[in-house]
Amino acid sequence: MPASAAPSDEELMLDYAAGDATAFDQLYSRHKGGVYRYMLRQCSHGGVVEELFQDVWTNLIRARRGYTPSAKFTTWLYRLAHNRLIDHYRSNGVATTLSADDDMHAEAVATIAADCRDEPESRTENRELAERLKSAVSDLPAPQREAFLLHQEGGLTLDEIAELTDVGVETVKSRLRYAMNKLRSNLSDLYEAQR
Amino acid sequence: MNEIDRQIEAAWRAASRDQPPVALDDSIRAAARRAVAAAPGKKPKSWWRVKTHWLPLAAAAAVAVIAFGIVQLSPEEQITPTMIAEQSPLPHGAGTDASKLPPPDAVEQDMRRPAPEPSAAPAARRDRGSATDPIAKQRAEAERQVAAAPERALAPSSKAGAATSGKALTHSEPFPAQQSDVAGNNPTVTTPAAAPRLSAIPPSEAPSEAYGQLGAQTENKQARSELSKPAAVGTTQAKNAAPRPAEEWIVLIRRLRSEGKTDEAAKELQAFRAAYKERADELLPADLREPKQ
Repeated sequence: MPASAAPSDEELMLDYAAGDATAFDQLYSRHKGGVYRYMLRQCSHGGVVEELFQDVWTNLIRARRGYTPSAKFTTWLYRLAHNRLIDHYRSNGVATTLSADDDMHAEAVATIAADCRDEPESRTENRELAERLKSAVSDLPAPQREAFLLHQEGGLTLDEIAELTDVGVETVKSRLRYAMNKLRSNLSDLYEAQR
Repeated sequence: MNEIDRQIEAAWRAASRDQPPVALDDSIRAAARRAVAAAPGKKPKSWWRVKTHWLPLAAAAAVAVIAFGIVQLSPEEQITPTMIAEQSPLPHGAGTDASKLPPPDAVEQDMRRPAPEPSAAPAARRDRGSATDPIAKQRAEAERQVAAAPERALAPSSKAGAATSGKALTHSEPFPAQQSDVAGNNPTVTTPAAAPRLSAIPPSEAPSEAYGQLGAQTENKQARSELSKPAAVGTTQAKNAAPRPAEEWIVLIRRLRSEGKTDEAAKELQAFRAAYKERADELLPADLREPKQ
């Protein structure tokens, strides 16, 4: 079956708004993992993540009649998730993390990377790599982490991330560059060992 | 993007495979289905509200229009027949039956009465008709009935004529149409000739005849006595408006001359010529053909 034959996210959302419950099932199957991981990596408490995740989809269900396909569906969906996270941070007094300046964390990330290099046996099982990668991402500054997750989990472009987070495209590009540099530095010992 | 970056991204995709719990999936999907299932019940409701909210306004507007129309139409039905009956023209040369002519005294009495202004009478009656006084309304009603009375008075044995006249009175149809219909159906009823013949009926009897047939409609005796006067006036007006029979007119002119009222005799002779035009010289006797000045 060609990929073009499958209905787009926007068509499915319009179908669901018109009363087609099966369209929602398809949409949910496509995006539940990305949204869940996007929220999981930015929220430390697992129970809270599930609650926030459910809130995101509930908000989507409520707002289905007001949906207009003026923007990409994923942008709209991750904006719902982003706003729900902001609300959660504000209600718990953690809101400053998303507005932290990139450069403030450069030194801390370098320190983490150095610590990783100094580990005596940082070799190479996939499991170990996955754990270190998750740890490195969770240690990223919140704006960089969010840009990285939106790019990796949501598949959003720089423009879409910029629109969603209300910053310029260059800022998004910079955040992503910083995030990758930090992750590279953090995990460089593993890749150098592979070579 | 270098090789290490690609490896990091691939490692991330491989490492990050977390999924929401199945129970959470089921809960969210159920919520989505409930929301959709509840929607169709609300949609027709709001559609029905939108569809019907203007119906009371439309009904009120329709009632208002109908009421206004009734109010506008009803006064015209009360006034118009009276006015038309009083102003109905009589055909030239009709009703020359000498055997049914009134006695000369009655003719002379009618002739001495001042002729009413042709345009003032309808206006006065229109004013009376629009008055709120119930007696005035009864008068107007009686005038309208008396205007139709000559038909019944002249052909009492004609059941068809009486039935038609009764219909004309009970229904609010225009009088000219009704009269022409009566004349066409019943040859014994000659409406144009009825006005001069009415002069033979005393003014106090003509309304009584009318009321005798309309007793079912008007039972108030006081109203009858009140209404007898304007009814007589209406009869006289109809009489004055009709051309007098030639013989009657000739008798009148001769009498005026014999009494020395030459001016009045000349006026009557002039009126006679104006009424009968080309036939005037044929009808006039030789002594009256040359007008005396």
